[in-house]
Amino acid sequence: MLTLIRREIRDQLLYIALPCFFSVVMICIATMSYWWGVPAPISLALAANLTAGLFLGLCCLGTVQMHTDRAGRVSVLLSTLAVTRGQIFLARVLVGVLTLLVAVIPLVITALVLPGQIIPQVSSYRHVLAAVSVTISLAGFACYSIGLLVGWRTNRAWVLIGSILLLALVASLVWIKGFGVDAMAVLLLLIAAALLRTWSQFVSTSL
Amino acid sequence: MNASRRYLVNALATGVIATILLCTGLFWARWLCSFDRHLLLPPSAREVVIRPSRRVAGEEGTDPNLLAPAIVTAAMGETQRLFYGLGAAQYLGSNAFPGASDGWRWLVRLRDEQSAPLRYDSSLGLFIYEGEDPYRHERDTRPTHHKFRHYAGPNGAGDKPDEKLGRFSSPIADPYAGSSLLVYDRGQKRFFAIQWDARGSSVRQGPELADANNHHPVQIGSIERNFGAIHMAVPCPTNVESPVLTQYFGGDRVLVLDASGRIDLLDVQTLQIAGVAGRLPTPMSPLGVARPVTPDDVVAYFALPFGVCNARQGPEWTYRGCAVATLSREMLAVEVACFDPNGRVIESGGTMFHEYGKSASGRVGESLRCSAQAAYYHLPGARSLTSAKLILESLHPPVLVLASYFASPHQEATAGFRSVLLLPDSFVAMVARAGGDMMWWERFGRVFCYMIPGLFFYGFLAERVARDAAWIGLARKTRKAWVVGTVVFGLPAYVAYRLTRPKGTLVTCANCGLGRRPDMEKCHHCGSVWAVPELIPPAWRVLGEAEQVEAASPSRAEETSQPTKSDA
Repeated sequence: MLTLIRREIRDQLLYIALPCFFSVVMICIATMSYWWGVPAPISLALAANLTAGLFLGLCCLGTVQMHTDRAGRVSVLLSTLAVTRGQIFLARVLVGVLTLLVAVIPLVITALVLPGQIIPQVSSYRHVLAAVSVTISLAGFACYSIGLLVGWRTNRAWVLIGSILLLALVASLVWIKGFGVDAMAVLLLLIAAALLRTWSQFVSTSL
Repeated sequence: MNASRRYLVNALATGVIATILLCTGLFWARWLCSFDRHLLLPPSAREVVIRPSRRVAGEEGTDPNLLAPAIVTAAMGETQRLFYGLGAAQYLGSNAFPGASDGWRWLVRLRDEQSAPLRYDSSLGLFIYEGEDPYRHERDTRPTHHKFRHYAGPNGAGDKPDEKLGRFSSPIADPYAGSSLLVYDRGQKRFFAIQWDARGSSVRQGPELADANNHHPVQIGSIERNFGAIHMAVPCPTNVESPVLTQYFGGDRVLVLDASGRIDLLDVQTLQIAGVAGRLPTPMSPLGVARPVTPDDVVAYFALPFGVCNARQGPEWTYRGCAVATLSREMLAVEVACFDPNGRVIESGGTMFHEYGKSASGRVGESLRCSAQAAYYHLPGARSLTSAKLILESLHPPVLVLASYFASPHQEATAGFRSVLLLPDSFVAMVARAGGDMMWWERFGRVFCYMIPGLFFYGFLAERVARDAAWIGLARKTRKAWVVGTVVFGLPAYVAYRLTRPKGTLVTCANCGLGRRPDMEKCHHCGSVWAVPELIPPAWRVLGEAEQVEAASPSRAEETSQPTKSDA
């Protein structure tokens, strides 16, 4: 499994770096505004845009992982070794989870260390930070799962249009539902369904 | 996992994805409709003005302007307020600005633990006040501020948490209170007055509410919700001498909002309900008369007590009543009412649209229409938006539309701004909330009328699914499940069917000539099995002359009995 994960990371290094890039940008802006003593934190609009970039990066990663496999028949080659398709899929998803954690955890730490720089300084800050972090992580993973789902198509136009459209819908769920339990429940349901369908398609496709 | 189970899992997963994504897309389309509809309202239809003093008749020589306000204005907020209703903005807003939304119900969430002077510790069941004593300084020296922290429970207050102080259970309090705090404890069903003081805070306990079953206070002091979505003013005349009627600042009477929508008057001295101050007025619904509203039924409300004081800000205040304004769920109608000291309505009014034209009777002139109804049916472009809304609601899964009918009377007013699956602001939900004497069958009839376009559409889709499923040879049970699923869940079920239907090339059946599945033993149209030709070699052969000679020679025939490659 570790070998599979390592191979997956090596193959998609550029797309793994993309969501982390947006995370780093947010951290840099927050840190610099703190050092320079700029009173206003990252504005909500900027934070929302950078978070949208994070979602986009995760969706791209999922799409590219599956599309590269479908086009290059990577899993067909790997299936000739002592590896099942379930393991290949699991390794792929684990890489997505790792990327998400690498992108989100530094952001949360920054928000904890520099309160008010990324999330506005509101009452019960830690409670809000926890809710926002969990919801953003779930939304990011939902975007990744949607990317996996769309990426398995062979038609590039459909992959592009589908990714953009579905990404917009999933990301807007956070805007609509907010950061409460409702949003988390809907996102979890969406993630479970998307992963199940992708797995079902991935496993049942003929070699 | 076998093929049929995998098919089931795949279909269910696809259905869930289709439902969530489709409902999200439909949500934005409906939201855009609401936004456009709000823009249709002219400025005159966004504001209401009432003149209560014209309606009061005091004793001879009494100025009616001292009994009731000469003018009360109420207006809805700007259209951009619709953005603030969305979940993310609402969440951050309720945490950043206490009292701006429904966050007032949980005082514990309103206060920042580090900076706010007052907070409620639910684990201790005590209010904690951190203040500064500005008086503790010696003469001719720089003032020194002595910080203190006091704890208050139902039985008393102290500088340390103590069991003797007792515990509050689910208390409510005015989030904007200063050093004197009024608290209602829902567990003990009584009011408390807490006075914070550096030299020793005190707690005064009121009697248990006499008719506790009819009293469910939800807000004390500042009766407002979604501040900014509604504006109300009771202008005070400045060019006249005292006394004047103005906002009531007396400390002996406080407004208390009840869960039923009634506004009670609390006597601060006795901590008992002194009487009824008024109630939340009911804004007009697009479908006509709505039932009496509760605090959860309106997007925003604001209550303003008024009274008379001889010297402004002086201690002698006389309570004269209150003005209350509410904003409807759709944010299309404002209703304002002015109440006298006994809680009786002096005057009320709602936002209206002034229309000039010919009436049904042929009379030319001005007619007044409720702003909500005008925005749905009468303003230019309103009917197009209403039709678009009906079409969008018809595309929603019918089971969720029907669920909205049952759920909407119990859903909070702003839920419609962030509800993806249920539709609290749909026509069907409006019927469920409609007031008046309507029989249950009449309600269901109206609901059915609103659902007819969707049911027709999904009947058509179900028929297509049934035909296609029969054509590709799905089992009878599976076909039935898809047909029922399409009627119940609508478009998401149809999308799920199209995405999960078995893909493969059909081959022509030798018996019926229709396409049949190559992976099934029998043709799903005629039931015939595969007509596999039996390869039995014929018993006769046509022989040429040379072969006849060879056949006549037995020894030669024996030599050639070994099968050749061409024979094989």
